[in-house]
Amino acid sequence: MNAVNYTARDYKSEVKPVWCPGCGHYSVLSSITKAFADLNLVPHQTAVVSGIGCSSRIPAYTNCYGFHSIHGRGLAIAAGIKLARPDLTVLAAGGDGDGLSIGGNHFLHNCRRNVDMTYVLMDNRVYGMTKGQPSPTTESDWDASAMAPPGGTGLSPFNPLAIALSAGANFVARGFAGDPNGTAAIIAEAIRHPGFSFVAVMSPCVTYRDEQREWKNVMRPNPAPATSDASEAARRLLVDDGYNIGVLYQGSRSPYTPKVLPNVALADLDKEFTL
Amino acid sequence: MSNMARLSGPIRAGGPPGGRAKNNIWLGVPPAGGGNAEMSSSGVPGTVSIALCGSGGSGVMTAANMLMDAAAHTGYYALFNRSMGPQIRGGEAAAMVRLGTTQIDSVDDGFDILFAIDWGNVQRFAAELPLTSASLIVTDPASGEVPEAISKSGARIVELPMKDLCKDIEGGRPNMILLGAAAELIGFPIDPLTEVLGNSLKKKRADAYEASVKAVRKGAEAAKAITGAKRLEGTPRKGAKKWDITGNEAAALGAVRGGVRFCAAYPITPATEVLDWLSSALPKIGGVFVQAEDEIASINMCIGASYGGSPSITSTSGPGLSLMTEALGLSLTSETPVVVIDVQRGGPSTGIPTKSEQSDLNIALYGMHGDAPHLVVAAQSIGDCLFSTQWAVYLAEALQAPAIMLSEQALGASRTIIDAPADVAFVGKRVTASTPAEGEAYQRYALTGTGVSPMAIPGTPGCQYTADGLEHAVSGLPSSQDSDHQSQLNKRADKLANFDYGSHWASIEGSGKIAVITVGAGTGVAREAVARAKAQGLNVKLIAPRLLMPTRPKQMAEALKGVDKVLVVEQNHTGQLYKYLRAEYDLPGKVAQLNHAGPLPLRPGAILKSLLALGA
Amino acid sequence: MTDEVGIVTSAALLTALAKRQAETAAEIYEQLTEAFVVANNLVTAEAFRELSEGGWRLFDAIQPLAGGLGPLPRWGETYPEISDPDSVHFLMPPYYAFELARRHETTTLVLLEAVAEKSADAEIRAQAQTLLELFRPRVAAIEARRNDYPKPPHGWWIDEDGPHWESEF
Repeated sequence: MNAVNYTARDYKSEVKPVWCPGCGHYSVLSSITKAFADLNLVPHQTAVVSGIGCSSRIPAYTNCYGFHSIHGRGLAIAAGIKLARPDLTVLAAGGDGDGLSIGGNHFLHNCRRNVDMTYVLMDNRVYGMTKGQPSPTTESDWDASAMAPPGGTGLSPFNPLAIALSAGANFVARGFAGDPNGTAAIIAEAIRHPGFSFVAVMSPCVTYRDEQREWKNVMRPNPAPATSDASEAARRLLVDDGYNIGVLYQGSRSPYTPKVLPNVALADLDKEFTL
Repeated sequence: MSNMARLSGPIRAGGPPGGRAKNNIWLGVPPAGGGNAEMSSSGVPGTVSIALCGSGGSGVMTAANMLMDAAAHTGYYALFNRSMGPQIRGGEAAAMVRLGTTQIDSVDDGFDILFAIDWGNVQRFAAELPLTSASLIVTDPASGEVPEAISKSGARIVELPMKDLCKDIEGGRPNMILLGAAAELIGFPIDPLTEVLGNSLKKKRADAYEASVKAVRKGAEAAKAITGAKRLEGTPRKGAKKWDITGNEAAALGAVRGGVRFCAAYPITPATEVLDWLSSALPKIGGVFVQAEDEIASINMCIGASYGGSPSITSTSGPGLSLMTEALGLSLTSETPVVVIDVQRGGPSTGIPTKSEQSDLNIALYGMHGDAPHLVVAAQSIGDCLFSTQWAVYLAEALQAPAIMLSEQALGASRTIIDAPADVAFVGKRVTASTPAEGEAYQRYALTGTGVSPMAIPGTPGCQYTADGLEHAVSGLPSSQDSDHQSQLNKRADKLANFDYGSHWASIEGSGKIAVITVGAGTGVAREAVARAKAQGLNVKLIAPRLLMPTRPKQMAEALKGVDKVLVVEQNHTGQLYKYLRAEYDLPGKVAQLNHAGPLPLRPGAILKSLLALGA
Repeated sequence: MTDEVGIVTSAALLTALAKRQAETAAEIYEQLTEAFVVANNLVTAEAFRELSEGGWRLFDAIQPLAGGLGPLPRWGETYPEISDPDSVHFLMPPYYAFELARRHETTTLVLLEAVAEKSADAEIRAQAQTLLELFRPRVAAIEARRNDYPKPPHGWWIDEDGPHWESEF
């Protein structure tokens, strides 16, 4: 138990975010720091890791140990930190382009590996940092940007929650930047929950996805409470339209921990070669 | 408070009020004897370099683009690049334009006039806006003091109340005042500007058109009271056929002219624009464009499409090229042609994405594992992005090899008005195989005189083969035998080395005992430095290789005949070009280096200084 | 839908909720101040700075009542820029900063008025009146400041240059 009681401010650095005014990510940063405060995490024992993109700028805006890594690889870096330093609290953050496109393979495998960490995916359904290209979560008929083909990509968007669940994530939830307190509570629960916790936060892009300001009118709380039954969670996802907020699934898989074998002295390792 | 009073003073720092600068101060050239023809000492009519600064929606880029449009229609040549803050909206911005009556392939050493609607966080790129006491700063007094980082240059400061001037104009915006004032000061005609406004605004927003024209005229009128600005020289040639294009667009066009009909790509600064253009052009000519999930998918999809018979290309920057190196090895060993455009940016790692650098030479030349002879072509100018890409496609197809086309942010993201490039007859054509005769087996990797084996396109009966990254026998079946490995290694190296690349392998200009060797955007900069040197009586030869791999030992030796001193110029920290030249070529006695990494561009004055020192 | 009157079960709770509203508002105004500095819209940044100062003064003026309250329930609108995303634009003039604050703090005012009128408990109603004496002038002052500015000109939102998409990716 720490002697200090941290507030959300204690987790924010002096660096001013360069996000556009009105960007949903401000709210997610608030939620994350509030969640850290609710758990009274020690800033210097907490690591925030990201890839590349607008949302991936977040580590520098926190007062924790941060790693702004390369495109799509935040989860791999985060897993490495946690495996070498299980005593740290590790939170990975990034966007839908970073996490589900180039980062897709790492996303699959980290859900499966189930290392005890939390992944906050800020989903604005667009590549915000380049020209507004459609991302893997963009609706198939979206063509409002110059970068989207007329009529949209025609490709079905990923449902990140479905991928996380089927790949084995131990905690699956959706938040909304328009409900920072609710999202903070979800993230705190995610951090508390052992294993790989996945929280997709719908975070509107005020620059490239003007129409997302309507999200506040369509987001709704989950019709049912969180379930610990993966098949029940899967059934719910089949009819999920992407606007249900809250914790969907809390599993009971044991988090991945490297095997601990009885200690052998270094010198004794030669023995197998010695004639 | 009358506007006139504002404009004639106060003049706050440096330089004599009024009067023309008698010489281009950066050349270190003594003033020409009082003459009125102000030629730069390179003997070509003087150019003007201006910078327009503003932030948060002030519209300086739009103003600069309109100036470019007008220049294009008036017969001027121009070069336009820009710097911006990291914000996606509201950031500080500087539009940098160089105008003249002959083709411009380089930035100048600094700026003649710097205009500021406001100062925002301009100190962020103060180093990219060099000024001297001969320069002029035109500032809006409502925007406060000129930041020290800018004023310390000693440039002359004059006031132009841009925001105030557009108050009476309904819908008038300060950037249009700025545009009119800028045109007036540099001697650029106003009518083409209003015409450009008409073309872009009249149909869409008629009220905005009226307001903008009024503002432009008002700005021009207000600027008449400002004296001593550098003005454009010479007569613009309206007749000559010109293009208005960026390096990335030129490269993309070169690709399709070379025969590319497939592109799989992933966005990355500063290459994204190549993909933009191809994504809309390829479907129109029966080609295919797909946005891949990452760079590794991109290059492999291109290789697949190429295996299927379609010339393919992708475009990326340093980080993406790093990801692609394994697949490029596959292209090489399987002899499946593919082209990658690398628009270089500040490195290493994530580096400085929006700034130019020439620091991917190492990885382009030597990045693949194993013995990996391949093609590396480096574009020399914005217009040359077209030729070099087209040529790279042609070579890749002819030689069944991977080609890396090196561009850089300074070319890719810069917009220019140039003479329309010549149409060149390089269209990719593969040596393909047809159904073998009865009793004969198709040998995909047959040893031939040229080293190029006929390639079977899927669908051709009797020629089925399995392409492979594993080393193989002539049949294509995997082999670990010494004889196969040596003969295939020889084949893949010889086919490139023995090809006749003609004179396109390098630009070789002038003569002299001193040579300057550079690549990429350095070519235009060095060319201008060489012209200035010549005007001072120092003869310098310019050697700018376009083909970096395979090397051309005979041709380089020929180019270096009579040269006893070499200056190697490049925009990176570790001297990558210098080391490559040293490793691959015989260089004469004294070899000096001028190299520094981005973000600041190479400038002619710096090269001239080194040349003069070398020649001394 | 929460019953925002019924959920107030004590005067101390009401005070704590009102104080939380004031605190969140002031924090958001500070955040928006920084955001507008970064976007080089200094006049609007200054407006938000002024609003945050006033917000903290309001916060300080609210005297908390004794009582162990535990975690506070949801009450009122907490994030004005998110509740109405149309209310923020990087080019917006100061008029809209004050309008955002006016609209937001009016929602708290309306809630306090509802509690003052409808709460079953007399003590709560009285405390609501006390708080109204702090919140009403605050909203009035914001509205007056807003009216110091002319209605923004047509086309203030036009950014001809468009987003800088290359950024740092």
